[in-house]
Amino acid sequence: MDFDALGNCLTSAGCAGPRLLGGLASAAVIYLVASGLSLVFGVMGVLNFAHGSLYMLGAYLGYTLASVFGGGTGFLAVLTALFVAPLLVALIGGVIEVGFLRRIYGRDLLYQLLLTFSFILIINGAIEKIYGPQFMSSPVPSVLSGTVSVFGQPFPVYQLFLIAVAVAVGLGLTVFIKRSKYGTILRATAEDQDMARALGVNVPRVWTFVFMAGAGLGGLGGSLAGPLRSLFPGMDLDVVVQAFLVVVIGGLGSLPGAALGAVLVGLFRAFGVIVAPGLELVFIYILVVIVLIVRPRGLAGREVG
Amino acid sequence: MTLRSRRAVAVPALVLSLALAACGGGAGGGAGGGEGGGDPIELGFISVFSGRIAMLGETGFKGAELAVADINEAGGVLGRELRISQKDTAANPEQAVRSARDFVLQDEVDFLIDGSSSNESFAVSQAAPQLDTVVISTASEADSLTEEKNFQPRVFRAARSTWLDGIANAQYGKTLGFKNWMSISPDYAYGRDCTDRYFEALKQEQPGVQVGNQLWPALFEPDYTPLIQQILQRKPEAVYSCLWGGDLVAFIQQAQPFGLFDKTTFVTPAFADSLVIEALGDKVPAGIHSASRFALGSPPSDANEKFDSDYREKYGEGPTNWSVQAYIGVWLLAEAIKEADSIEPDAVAGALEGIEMADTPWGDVQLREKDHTLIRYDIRWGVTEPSGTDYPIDFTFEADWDTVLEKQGSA
Repeated sequence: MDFDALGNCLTSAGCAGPRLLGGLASAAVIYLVASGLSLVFGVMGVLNFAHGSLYMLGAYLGYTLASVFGGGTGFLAVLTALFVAPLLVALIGGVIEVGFLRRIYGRDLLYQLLLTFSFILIINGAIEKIYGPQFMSSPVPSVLSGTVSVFGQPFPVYQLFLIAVAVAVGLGLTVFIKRSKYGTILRATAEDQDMARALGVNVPRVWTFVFMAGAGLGGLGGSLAGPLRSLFPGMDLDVVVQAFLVVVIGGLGSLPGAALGAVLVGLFRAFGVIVAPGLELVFIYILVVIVLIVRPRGLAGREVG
Repeated sequence: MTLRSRRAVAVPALVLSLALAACGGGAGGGAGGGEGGGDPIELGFISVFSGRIAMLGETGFKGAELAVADINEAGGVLGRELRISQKDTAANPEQAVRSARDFVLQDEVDFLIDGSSSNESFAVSQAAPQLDTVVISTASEADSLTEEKNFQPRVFRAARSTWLDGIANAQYGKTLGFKNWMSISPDYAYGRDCTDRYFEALKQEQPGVQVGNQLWPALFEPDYTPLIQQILQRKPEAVYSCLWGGDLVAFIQQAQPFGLFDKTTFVTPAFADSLVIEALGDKVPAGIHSASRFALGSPPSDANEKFDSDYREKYGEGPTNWSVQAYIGVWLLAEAIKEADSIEPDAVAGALEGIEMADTPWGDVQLREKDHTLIRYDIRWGVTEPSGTDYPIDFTFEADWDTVLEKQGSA
């Protein structure tokens, strides 16, 4: 345990600055994925184990879109990754909700688990059939492929872009849920769906919309992370586990919790590696254990009662 | 805002248990067959064809299939055709043993080609006494497979071995003359062995070598940012990495914009793999030191070139290290059957011991008698120079096998 090195780093902007940004860039993707997972659970009470697979779909769709629109500055590729890929994944999410999930609401959690787990296998199988089993790599659009100097060190523009998108999404979600009419309906449905139904809210439609939004967030995480990562069938596994860790830390169903959890996990890794290189993941699991003991509902989770 | 929370304690356990629930697969198709003298000689190929390392099975099977086609074209073995079929191990040692048993007992194949990963191959090799057949292991590089205490008289490794590679790679590492190293390798048996063997040998070759931080990302880690920043801050002269495949691609993509390859020398035994080079395309950084694994030009021979072009023609993609190992494994078996003039397992195993084969796509190789492991396969090193050419590495260093074997003998 090298706490001296951590102390030295924290007192020097040239070390702490880039690490902080690096940690936030790691957190950005986790946040996008985890927020979708948390949104769906918070409103619908559905634990979507296939959420990672929606992230994977976003990554592969981003790859295909980039191969079509990736020419020139790659500006079109950025736009398609930001809007088209998540929208397509949201539509696939809509099909899953209307066609399948809808039939098992109100049943045991086990049914949800089996159904969403089967979608993991279906989506993995489909991707393997369409793209093949080998790993692939998606290009970073050239407009975002440069570096900027941060505290005298080169830092990738693309990672700053990820942070910016995650912040924008977080603010957008907050404003939408807190300030808009639809956000009010959403919160009402989450609180008490029977009362919402009695007041004329079309609850099934709200749920379809929420599931699509959650899927879209997962897809956005995938389409944006794709150019930095390897694409392969099964790339969803680590990400869904990571997203679950984050929502457990932050509080399942809480969007600020997802942000808090993602930032904590990102920073624990970024600075943990200084203290115990090679063992940095231990800190995240220690954090999870402490949260589960002290606040089982997560840091931002609310007591129900 | 806080949406309503529900009980979440059981979630991580559920997710993890699901994550570990691999999906099994069935048997695949066969190849070969046709007109022959007697009944065909049946080979059963087991490997992983599903999940995250499916390319191990896919590209290994293609190499084995190509060998079967070549051998049949040359008139088969003992006047009989070879036929090969596959079964999935689903990356699971128990399933691997089950697949091997099914092949031998139900399908009554004559020989097993085991192209599965180290854990599975180890399980299959230990089950070999109950399988009345010879097993040629074509993908496991782990030392444990051929250690004396695990020795199995009818199991052979037609694949590179981590220990021999480590000694050979240190021969090259020494020529770089660096004193301060770091490492970044995947945190599982192969990643650890590959890294430890290299530094063990390097410290013998070059006293005074310092190994600083050793980083161990999880296998299939998607995000290397914190580890890249740690390397940049520590400023080692060189970094040794046993990352491979998709992990290596992800690391390179993420490290390049940070300028890592300009600030330190990155040394890896696994970059020159056709899948890695094809995935990176025009994003190959200059100045990466890599061993050949299997590569065009390693060795520069007609056999090497022919294997590469035949494979590409047949499958529309480049061969991998697993392809060439399976190809050689099937050929060695065919030669041993010829020499034994029978398909009786003990006779064939006897013929395999110490068998030499000249001019394979991987050079002149031999199955060492004492531990049944492949030696003298081609190991070269070079530095990447992406210049828009097809192949970004010119191999300038060749490992000296006599010294490698001598060092291993004295260890």
